[in-house]
Amino acid sequence: MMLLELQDIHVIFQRGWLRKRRGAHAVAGVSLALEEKGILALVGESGCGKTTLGRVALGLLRPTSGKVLYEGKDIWGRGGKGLRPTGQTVYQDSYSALNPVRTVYQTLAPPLRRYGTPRKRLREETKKLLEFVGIMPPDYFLNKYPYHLSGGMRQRLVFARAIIPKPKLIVADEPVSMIDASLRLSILDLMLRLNRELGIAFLYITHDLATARYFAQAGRIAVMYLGAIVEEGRMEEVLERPLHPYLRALLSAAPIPDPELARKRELMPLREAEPPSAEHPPPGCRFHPRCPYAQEICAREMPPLRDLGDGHRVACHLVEMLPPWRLT
Amino acid sequence: MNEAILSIRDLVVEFEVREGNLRSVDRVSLDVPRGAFMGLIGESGCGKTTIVQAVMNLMPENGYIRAGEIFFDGSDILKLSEEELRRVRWEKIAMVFQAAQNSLNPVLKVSEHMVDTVLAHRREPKSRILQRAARLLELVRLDPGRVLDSYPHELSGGMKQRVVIAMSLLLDPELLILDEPTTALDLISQAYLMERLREIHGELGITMFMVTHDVSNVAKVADRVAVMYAAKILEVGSVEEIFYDARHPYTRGLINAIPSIVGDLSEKRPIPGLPPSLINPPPGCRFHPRCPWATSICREAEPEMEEVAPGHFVACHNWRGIQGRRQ
Repeated sequence: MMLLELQDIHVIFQRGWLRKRRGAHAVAGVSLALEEKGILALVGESGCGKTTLGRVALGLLRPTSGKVLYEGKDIWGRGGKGLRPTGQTVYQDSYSALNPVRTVYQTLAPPLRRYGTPRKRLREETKKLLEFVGIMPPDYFLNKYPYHLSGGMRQRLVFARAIIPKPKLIVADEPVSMIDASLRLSILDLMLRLNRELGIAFLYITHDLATARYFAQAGRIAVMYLGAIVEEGRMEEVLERPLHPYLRALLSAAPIPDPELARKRELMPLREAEPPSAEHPPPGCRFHPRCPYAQEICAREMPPLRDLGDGHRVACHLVEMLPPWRLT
Repeated sequence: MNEAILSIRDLVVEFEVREGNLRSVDRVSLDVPRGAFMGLIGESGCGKTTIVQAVMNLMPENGYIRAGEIFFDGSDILKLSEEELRRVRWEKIAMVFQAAQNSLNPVLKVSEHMVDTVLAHRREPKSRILQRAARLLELVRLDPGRVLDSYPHELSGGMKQRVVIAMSLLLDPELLILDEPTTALDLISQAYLMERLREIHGELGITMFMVTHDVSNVAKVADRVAVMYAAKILEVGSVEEIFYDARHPYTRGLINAIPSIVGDLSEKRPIPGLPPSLINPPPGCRFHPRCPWATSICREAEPEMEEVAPGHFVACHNWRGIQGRRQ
């Protein structure tokens, strides 16, 4: 069974408080599923609605329309209260996620207590938890405050706290983008361990295709553009055979730490380099004003997400007519 | 290699903070060859931005240049008077700061920015300034007819950043310093900006010095690269030497820690441990606590820069012994 299913989710933010006006259509008809113990990377640029969708997935935000099914049950339906996902979030900024006047011990002990650890064993359990997430030696860190810790250590602490309620799902929203390059993989490796050893499913939200590929190698990827999913499938398959022109443009722009490859590769020419405003998305396919292949139908109709077999889904009217893909 | 347009010698910069003296740049020497596109890479807090602040003599209040010389075109700019320095800045050395797109004045049109910038340095008819501004905007692929007449809020982040770069070129500087020029831009605008920088470098023959944490951007545009770690420069070489034949364990570890959208991921590893405190740095080589090959000498003596091949410099005691060995 699917752990989480999003069905035709729309989120429209209202503006103004006296006379409500329709504001930004942040999520426009997204359907996605995440298996138990699965990994899904949700990739998109800032303003595409990926963070909003992450909040919907956890039941933190009620969608304007659409269903959120958690273990098959509608969390906003009748009797849905209490079915809120046993999910946790981890955000980009670990510093603001932690209470600055609480030590490491004071951060972890209350939730441990609340989830059933006997008072006598709190210290021991806290130390075990620290060791598990790689904050070592635990004795040294127990009485440290968040500002004593490096960004990487703080993010580990946030993950330690997140796993206390034994969640089945963690939504990690840009968890490594404030972490130094040499340490980024160590946090992604920690997330992979939580997935493998504790069976926690991950929705990994990021703008960075390279870390998405690293973390979700064995999982799936969904690419989001201005509120809609434009392509979705197994990571390996999608990166090998990307179809949607937006994903191709992203791949042609993604940084590659190799001078020869980086110089050989050409940036896909877009009709407009700059993204349009997320608040007034263009009609039809939202990518059509920038798309080099766009035809008349693209301006008129929003393309549905079509399954091309093998679970590789693409929302593009012209899929069959696109030239073959080559990165360099 | 060409002679150096910018030559930093034994530079020491300290910040006075509550906990003591934080030595952000520690006896750093670095040459930027004339005509080069040089990249300086390092992680946050390693001191790379401090080097730039020292070169422009724009130190924050609690920052002090304790020792060293910075030669530009042969003369030490640390010895210049405020007025002489003002002439060097922007006329000879221009700079694009981090998130510079936010440095535009919201109530001035782009054309007014351009005119003001030039008039602050010399008298020139407005029409001539605008002509040159239009040419430079075309160079960064902006439509001068539209952009000159726009206010900053009418432009996207990527366009503003390109306006700032065009502005920085107005006085025909010999050296353009870029500090994290792509911060806060979306991926496609970033890639686009990098391509424009590469083109400008080729067309104008200007020397570029780009400071960044983004290893991949350096791979794309730089022809020479310096690697900084904990207030020290550890390795300098051509972009090929740094990416394909790095000798310093930190350089090798850093490049191997960057995930990519292509290639094998199974060999990718983070560097274990954490960068040291700059208030109390470890003795010997600053990288030794994280280095897989550290020996006793690394804990005792600070390694000096050695030239391992013409133009390729490394500060590591053991570079000979570890060549070709895997991490």
